[in-house]
Amino acid sequence: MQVLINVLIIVGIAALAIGIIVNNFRRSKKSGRCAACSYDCEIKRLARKKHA
Amino acid sequence: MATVALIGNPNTGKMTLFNSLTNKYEYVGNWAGVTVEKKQGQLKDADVTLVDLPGVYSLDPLTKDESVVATYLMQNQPDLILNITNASQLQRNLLLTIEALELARPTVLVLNMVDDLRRTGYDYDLAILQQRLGCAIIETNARSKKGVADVRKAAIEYRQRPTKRLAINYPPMIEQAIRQAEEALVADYHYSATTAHWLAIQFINQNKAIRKYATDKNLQPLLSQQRYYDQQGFADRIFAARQNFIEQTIKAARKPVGNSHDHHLTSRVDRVVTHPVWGPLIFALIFFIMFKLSFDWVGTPLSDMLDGFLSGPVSTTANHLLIQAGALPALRSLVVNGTIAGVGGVLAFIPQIFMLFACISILEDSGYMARAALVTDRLMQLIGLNGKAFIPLIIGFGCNVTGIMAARTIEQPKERLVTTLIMPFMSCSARLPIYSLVVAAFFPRHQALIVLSVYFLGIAVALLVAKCYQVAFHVRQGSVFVIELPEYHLPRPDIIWHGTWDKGKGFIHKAGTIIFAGTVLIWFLSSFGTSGFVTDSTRSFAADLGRWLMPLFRPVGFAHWQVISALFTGILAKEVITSSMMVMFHTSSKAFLIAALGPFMSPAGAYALLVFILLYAPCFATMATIKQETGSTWWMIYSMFSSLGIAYLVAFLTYHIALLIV
Amino acid sequence: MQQEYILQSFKGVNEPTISRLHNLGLCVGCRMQVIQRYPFHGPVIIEAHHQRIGLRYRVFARLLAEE
Repeated sequence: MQVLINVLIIVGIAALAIGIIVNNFRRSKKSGRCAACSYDCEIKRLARKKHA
Repeated sequence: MATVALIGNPNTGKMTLFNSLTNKYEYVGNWAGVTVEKKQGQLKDADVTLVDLPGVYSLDPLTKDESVVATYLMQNQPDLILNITNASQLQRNLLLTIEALELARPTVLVLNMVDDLRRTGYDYDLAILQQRLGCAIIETNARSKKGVADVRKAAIEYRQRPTKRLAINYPPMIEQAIRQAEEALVADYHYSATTAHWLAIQFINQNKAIRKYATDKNLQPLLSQQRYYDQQGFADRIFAARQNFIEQTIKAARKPVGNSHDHHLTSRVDRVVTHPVWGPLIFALIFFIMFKLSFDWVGTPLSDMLDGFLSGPVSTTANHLLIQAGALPALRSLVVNGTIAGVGGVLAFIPQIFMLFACISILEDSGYMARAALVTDRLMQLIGLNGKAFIPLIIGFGCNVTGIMAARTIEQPKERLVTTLIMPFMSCSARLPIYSLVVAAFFPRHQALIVLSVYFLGIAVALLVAKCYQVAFHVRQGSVFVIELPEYHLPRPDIIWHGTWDKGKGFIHKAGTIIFAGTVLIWFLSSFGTSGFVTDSTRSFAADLGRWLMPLFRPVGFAHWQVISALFTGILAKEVITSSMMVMFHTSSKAFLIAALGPFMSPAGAYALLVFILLYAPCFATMATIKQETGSTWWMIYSMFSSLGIAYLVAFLTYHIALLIV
Repeated sequence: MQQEYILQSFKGVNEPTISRLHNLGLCVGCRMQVIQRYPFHGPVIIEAHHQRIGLRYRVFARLLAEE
């Protein structure tokens, strides 16, 4: 029982990690967003402000 | 649901105002066919949508991205147009205002940055401006939130803002041409009188976006007269008439006020800062201080404390709790030696990263960056770049991705491309953790010096590669270097904090996602092998992979499977290299890892490793951005392979030269 | 070093640059004050309509019809 729960948790963490990597992949493919992080950081703001 | 469109020149604080007016904003993808993102948000506590249009100097676009504004105004019917202007630059800002007012949509003119205006010793009589322009006027200072409530009220009460169409006295010949075109457009193409009038003026004025629109829709009244309009030089005369109108209006409304102290401040500072001799020295000094602050004085001490906390109490407590809960050794290893070690090892760098971004923010906010770009333009030209590339490259030291996006300000496509391609050589903040680790292990007495040398090497390689591209691409025509030098501002602590925190949040988010995922990945690769779960990592998949590639890395001095495997994971995000090393050495303590690395390689090999990490493949996010900004997957692939090649070559040279010296 | 010049023409300046200058409010007949010059034909800082603009020497020279 103990072993099962442990294994489930480990598998869960693995699934989460894979999910994140795949999501990251998909998110960068969909252009129009900053690929580094999903927050509108100061630098990005400045970049847009200085656009043109 | 009403729509309010924000238009204005760049550098007018439009963004700040937009942020103050909306609760949260979202990017709803791109504007059709361009790389600029469509940004809209909900006005706080109101059923009004704000659409932020890209900053432009005029509706006649210079780049495809700028054409978004003219296209939007033509095809949509915003209930209200908010024209944000820099009050101290009104003369220039009004060019766009005129173009918008000729549309006869409800418009409110916002004079932002009134404090700057008053500092120049002038103010405007709003009543006179209002009478001449025919629209409501609100004064704001978005940085201090002054007047924002009034703007909000205006946006909500959009229905009460009728605006009469601005009538400028164009020369009679032009007025006649406009009238004729307008009548034909209304009769044959069913445009409303005001839209037809505006279309005609814009077309005659050689607005590229409107001319394309006219061609697409086959608007004969305009197209058939195009030659005539251009031969008569109507566009220049329209410009002159508008300039005249603006000058008269400003002269009538301007009134002197109080002292113009701070304008003199800008002049005085500039005299030193842009001085041909003192300028570059101050420049070097500023960047030196920035570096010292981030990595020596403030950054590192805080970072060590944080690291001690994470690898000490946090790790031990977690371990303890897990033992109590009866977790298996495998799970405990994953959580403590994997996740906490890996992610924690990177989180410990928050102080340095925050400091670095704060410095970049301060520099930009103060207005210094534009001066720096000016001073470096001449040198940049020697290698085929533009002085305007300076700012994005500096931003690239924080994060390559944002650096590449900032390169959009470079008009010439080839110059922009080269800047994008050399960006990965700017040592981003994500590489800091691994540099720090390696120098602590191999160069304990010269840490700052070695890291500085790596940064400079990156810059040197970037410049050299740019020169090669210059030869290969023959960048000749169309280079534009016209840069505004804004008034110096004393950077406001709250604005700096806001910006730094924003970026910091992004970094922490990155730590919780991709770095966490990468750490888990490397844990699995180094804890499982062909014989199943292994506690001896030398029998893991990671080890097999690393050993398989070892021969390749012998010539560069770091042929160890742990390092090689770690480098692989670096493609996910450069911080993960550090995480991977900690996981593979089964430790959550940086100090332990540093000690363990010592006998691992020679100092020459260690330096070659630093060089390799500096130059090899850009991280995943950067590659995606290169693809996005260049519009081609080939450049992304080229980027990956060319940097691998350059990294190998330079690391090879470095290793062998170092061997000769040491 | 506050010499004043009058913008003579846009001849010989590339299209995109002319657009930019136009948009910044510069036109033939405009007054420009030189704030700073750099040795060896380095960039020039001018002030027009209360704003400071940095230009390349070549462009500046052409605006004054000196090249």
